[in-house]
Amino acid sequence: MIIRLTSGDILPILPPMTNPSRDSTLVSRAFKASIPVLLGYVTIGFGFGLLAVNTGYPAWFALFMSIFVYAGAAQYIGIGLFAAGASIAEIALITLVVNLRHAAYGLSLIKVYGKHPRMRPYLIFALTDETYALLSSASEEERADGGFLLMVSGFNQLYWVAGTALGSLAGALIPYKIEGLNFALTAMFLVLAVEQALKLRKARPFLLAGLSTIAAKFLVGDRATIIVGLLVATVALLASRKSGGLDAERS
Amino acid sequence: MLSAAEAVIAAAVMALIIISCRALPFLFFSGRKPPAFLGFVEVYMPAIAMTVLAVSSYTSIKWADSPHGLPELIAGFAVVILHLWKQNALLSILGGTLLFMLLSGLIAR
Repeated sequence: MIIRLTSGDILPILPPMTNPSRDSTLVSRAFKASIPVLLGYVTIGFGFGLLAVNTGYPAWFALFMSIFVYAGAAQYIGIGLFAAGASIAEIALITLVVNLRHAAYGLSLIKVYGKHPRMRPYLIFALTDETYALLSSASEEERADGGFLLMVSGFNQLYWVAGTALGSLAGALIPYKIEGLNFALTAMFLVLAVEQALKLRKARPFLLAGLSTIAAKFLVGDRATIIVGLLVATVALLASRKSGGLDAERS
Repeated sequence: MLSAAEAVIAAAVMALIIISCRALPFLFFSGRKPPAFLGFVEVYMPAIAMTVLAVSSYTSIKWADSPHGLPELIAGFAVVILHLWKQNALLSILGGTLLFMLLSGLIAR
């Protein structure tokens, strides 16, 4: 039975104690919201599992990383660094630099996550680029629902782990090494850069970052290119901020 | 190459660093307003980080040796065009990678 209000809103009249359909609609709403990430995470997770096993690490290690590290770009880069025999200090520094952007994501979610203290630890752990993108474009109503936030975050990690499991299985079954798979990582960075370009519609951050990286390569060599490139680009952009054209308003 | 045991330790370190990055703003700015400079970083950091990561996978190519980075250049160009056109991340990444595999097989032999 429903009561139609004058404004046209529909208010369901429910049994006083419980709402049996709430949980199932929550699950299906969260699932529907997570669909954009489903295909991407299963495939990129698949690529990660395949890469890890192809590099020579066991399937359980790929799963270990997808469950506890849970960061796409860092996991791909990590496998490359492990294979190259990098030191823990190098691995730590590159991980920090690559994932520092995640610290920026949390800034716009402090109030949203603050309303759900019990779920907050997992919500923060699972704050990947894609989950951030989904949740920051969700409606106010959805963002106020802790169960929804938790479910969407959980579904996304489920896709990532499932993709990794399938990929490492495929890697174990295919007897020969697949050449060229690591280009998927380059392609992913290019895609994310294009998405940023479409969003910002400014050339300067991209030009500065590109030039800084090339300069870093010649100054410090391959090993430290990423770190030095990032630092130089950030400082250069901050320095050029005063000269106009860039603003720092949060959207 | 790190052994599986060493890689587990390295991965645990990575996990700690990543959760720290994600938790940082919640630990520091739950009570007060973040400085304006961080807003700037929030807006432009993703663009800078992605560009540096993309370009750095090109700076490590050995340009003097055959096939002179051609598969990487052509496939990378295809990824950008495909993504500007369709904006389907899966299509762009999968298409670019398959093209790269095909090109490096064709040109290198």
